[in-house]
Amino acid sequence: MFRRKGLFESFSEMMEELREEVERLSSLLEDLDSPMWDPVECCLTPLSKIRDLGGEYEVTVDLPLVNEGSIKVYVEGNDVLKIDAEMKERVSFKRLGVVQGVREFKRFRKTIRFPEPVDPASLRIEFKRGLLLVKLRKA
Amino acid sequence: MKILGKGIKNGWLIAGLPDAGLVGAIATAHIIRMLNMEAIGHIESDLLPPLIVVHNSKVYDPVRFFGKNDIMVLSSEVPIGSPLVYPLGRAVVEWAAEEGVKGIIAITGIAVSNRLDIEVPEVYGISSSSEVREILEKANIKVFEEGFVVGPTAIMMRECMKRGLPSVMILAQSFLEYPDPGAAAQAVVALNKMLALNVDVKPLLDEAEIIRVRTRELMRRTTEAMRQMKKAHEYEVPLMYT
Repeated sequence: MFRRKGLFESFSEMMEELREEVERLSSLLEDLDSPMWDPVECCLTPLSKIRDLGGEYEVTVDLPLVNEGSIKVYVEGNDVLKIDAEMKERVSFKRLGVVQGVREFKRFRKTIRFPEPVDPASLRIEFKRGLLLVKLRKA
Repeated sequence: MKILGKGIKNGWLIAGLPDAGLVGAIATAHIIRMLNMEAIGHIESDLLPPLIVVHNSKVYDPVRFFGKNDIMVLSSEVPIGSPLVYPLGRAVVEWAAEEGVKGIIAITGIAVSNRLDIEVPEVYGISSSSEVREILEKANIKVFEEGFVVGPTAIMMRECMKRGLPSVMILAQSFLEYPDPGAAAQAVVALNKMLALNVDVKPLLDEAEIIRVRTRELMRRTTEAMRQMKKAHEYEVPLMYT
């Protein structure tokens, strides 16, 4: 037996789809065509994902070759998350893309701007198998 | 879409295209390297990104076939976007059938939300017929019983079934949007059991972290391709189950 969706259910689904699309477009604008390395600062951009869990944001960041002790996570203002992590060994790319020379990288850096303000005091982090999990309550 | 190259008659074709956790792409890259396979063909299509790949000053196509003895591998250095999925799936299966290939084994990742808590990912198999199901059973590979599979590997399997070409899909539990060499290693272990490949996975596991660093860009673009083809369907339960 099929049940017709209620108005509230349909509206919630629509809002959820809209929210996912906004997240997707924001991450695309920030990321898709920008290089994931900075040869001047010798740093790489890690892969990351932001999820809006309603009352809080959950950010995961892939940080291979990183020791937990070298990770710095902080909130700037009330809507920007900054992550800086040193790699335990330098990573060398031969003939890197347009640079066509050997480049070495020693850290990951990532800046994430949240769509809504967060409470910096609520910052919680966990690091497991090279994956950083950050949780922040919305302000 | 054209496939240029000669297949290996009665050989298995292992397809590993960029997908969840880059499981197929990482696994096939490792197999090509460990078995020292040579390029035997490539795919030409206006639907592919307008690019060439340069390795050691030599120019290559981004989607290539490799071969050695009775094994072939299909590997791609670019994501297979939505518009490519159907024509590529059909062309590969058509080519394989015309070349007298024994069957297609597609490797992919099946994203699980608790991947971080899983030490050794499970591997599941889907077979197109009872004939190939035996291969999975002999290798002690669990059967994937129910769910959606989205992407080029799914289309390849469907085309194989239409043409009566034996096909198997190997699915390793993986991250969706982060490169997962650990899952790729388990997929290779499964292939070793199925085809007696004897590919050592230790180098893959030893280099897992550096592979994660080096495949970030491919993963980023693959993630976008997966979103376009609604990969998230895999988290859903199908309506029909008989």
